[in-house]
Amino acid sequence: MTIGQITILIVTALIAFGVCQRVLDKMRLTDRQALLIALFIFIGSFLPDIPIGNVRINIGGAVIPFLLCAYLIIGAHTASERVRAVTASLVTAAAVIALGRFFPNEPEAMPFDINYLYGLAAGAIACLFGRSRRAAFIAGALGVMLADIAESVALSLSGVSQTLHLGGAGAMDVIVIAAITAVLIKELVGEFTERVKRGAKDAQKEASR
Amino acid sequence: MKKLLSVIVFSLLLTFSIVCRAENEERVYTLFDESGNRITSRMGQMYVGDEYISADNLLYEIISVNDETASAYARLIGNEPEDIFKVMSAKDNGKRLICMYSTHSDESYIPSDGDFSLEKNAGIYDVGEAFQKHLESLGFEVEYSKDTFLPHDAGAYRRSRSVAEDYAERMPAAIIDIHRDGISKDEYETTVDGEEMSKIRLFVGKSNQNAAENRAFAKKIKAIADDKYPGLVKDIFIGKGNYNQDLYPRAILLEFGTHEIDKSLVIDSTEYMAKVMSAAVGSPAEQRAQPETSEEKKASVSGIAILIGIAVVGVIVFAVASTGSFRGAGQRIKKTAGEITGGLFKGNRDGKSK
Repeated sequence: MTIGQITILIVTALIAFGVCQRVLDKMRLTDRQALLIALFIFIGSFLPDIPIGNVRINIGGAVIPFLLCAYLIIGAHTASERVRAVTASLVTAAAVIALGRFFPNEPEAMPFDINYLYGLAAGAIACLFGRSRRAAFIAGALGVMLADIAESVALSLSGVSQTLHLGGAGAMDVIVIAAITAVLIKELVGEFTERVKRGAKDAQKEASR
Repeated sequence: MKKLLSVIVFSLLLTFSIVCRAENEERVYTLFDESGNRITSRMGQMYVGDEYISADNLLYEIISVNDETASAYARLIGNEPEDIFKVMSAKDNGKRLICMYSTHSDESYIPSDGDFSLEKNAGIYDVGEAFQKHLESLGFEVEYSKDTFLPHDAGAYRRSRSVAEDYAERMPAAIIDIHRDGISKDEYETTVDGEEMSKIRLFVGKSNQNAAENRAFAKKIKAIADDKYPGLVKDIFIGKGNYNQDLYPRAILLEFGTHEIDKSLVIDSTEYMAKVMSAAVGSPAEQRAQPETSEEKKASVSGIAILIGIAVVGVIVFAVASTGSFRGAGQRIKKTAGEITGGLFKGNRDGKSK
C-alpha cells in the first residue's frame, strides 16, 4: 500500500465517521452519546465477528446498530410509535429483498449504488409508517438485518448452507449505510414538507388580511 | 403531505426497479466503433460513459447505446499509455498477502460443470483454488473465502461486502473478486506460450472514490501481461458500479473465461495470471515491491480530491435542500460546525439543548 492509497482510506473513514456522528446526533442521544456510539461502530468493525452456528455477527456493523434500535424502540413515547417502527422495519425488509430480486444483477446496470437505494426505500417507508428520524434509522438498520436473515433462512430451507454475515462490513456495511441514508431522506422530506406547509399558512394569512 | 411524498418516492423506486430489470435480462451487448466495426461484447448492459481499453491499449468511451439491439457505439479516445516499467527499488521483506472471494458464487462452466449456474459445487471455486495454488507457489500468502453469497441477484454484492471489508482491514497487496463472463467462448479462446487456454478480462467500477487507483492497477496488470504473456489479458472494461471496490484502492474483478469454455482451459490460465499478479504487486521471492506508476500517484490525489469534493457538495446540497435557501444553509452549516467543534467556529453550540 502506498501513502496515497492509505490516505484515501483514512479520508474515507473520517468522512464516514463524521456523517455517522451527525446522524446519530439526531436520535434521542446527547452529543457525547452520539460520538461514543459512532466510535463503537467504527472500533467494533475491527473486532472479530461473534460466531453463532452458521452466523457471524459483527459488533460495529450489527450488534451496536441493533442495540441502538432496541434502545430507540423501548424508549419510544407511545406503543403506537413502537408498532410503527417495527412495521416499517418489516416492510423495509420486504423492500430490500424485492430490490435485490427486481434490480439487475450487475451494479453497472444501476444508475447509482444500490447500497444507498436500500436506505432510500427505508427512508420512504419510515415516512409512511413513522413520523420520526428514529423510525427511519430503525427501518433502515433492522430492515436490512431482517432481509439478510430471511434470505438466509430461505436458502437453508432449500438445502443450501451458507454463512450469514450480519453487519460483516462494520461501519461500511449496508446495515449502517441504509440506516444513515434513511435518516437523511427522512430529514430532507420532513424539512421540505414543513416548508411547504409554512408557505401555505403564510399564503393563507396574506389572503385573509 | 409526507405520506404523499413517500408514496411517490416508493412508487418511483418500484417502477424504476421493474424498468431496470426489463432492460437488463442478462443479455450480451456488443460494442462497435463509430464506423460500425465490432470491438467486443460482454454479458450485461453497456451504458453511455462506460469506458473500454482494448487488447492493443486503445481507449474507447461509449457514446450511444441501443437497448433493442443490445448494441453500443464507442468513440476512440486514443492510446492509453503504459508506464509500468519504472525503476524498481523499494524493498519489501514481508510475506505478501492476497485476498480473494467470489461474489457470484454459482458461476460455472457448462462443458465441465454441466450448467452455467450451480448453487452447490460451482466451478468458479475450482478456478479460484487453482489461482490460489499458483500464487502460493510464488511465495504469497493467499486467503480465498469459500463463502457463498447466494442468490445471484442484485443483493450479492451487499452480501459479499462483509468478506471484502474483512479483507480490506488486513491491507493486503490486492483484493480479487473471481468471476467468469457470459459471452461466446470464441472471444475468450487464446494461445499463450504455445498453450491453449482462456483469456482473462479485467473489470473496474467507476462509481467510487478508488476508481482511479483501481483503474491504474488494472492497467498495470494488463501492461505486465501484454509484455510477458501476450494474449492472456483480453481487455479492461470500466463500467458504472461499485463492485465493493470502494472499500480498497487495490481491488479488482477478474473474469476468468466464460460459461461456454472448458474449465480446464480457464484453470490453465491461472498459472500465468498468478505470475502477472506477482509482478504487479511485487514478488515476495524477489523481496521487492513494484513502485507506484505515475498514473497511480495521480490517482491517489484525484481520489482524495473526489472524496473531499463529494463531501463538501453533499453538505451544501443537503443544507440548501433542507433549509430552502443559501442563507439558511450557511446558518445551518455554521451551527453544525459549532456543535462539532465545541463552539470553535462561531456557530451556536447551544442550538441543541442537552
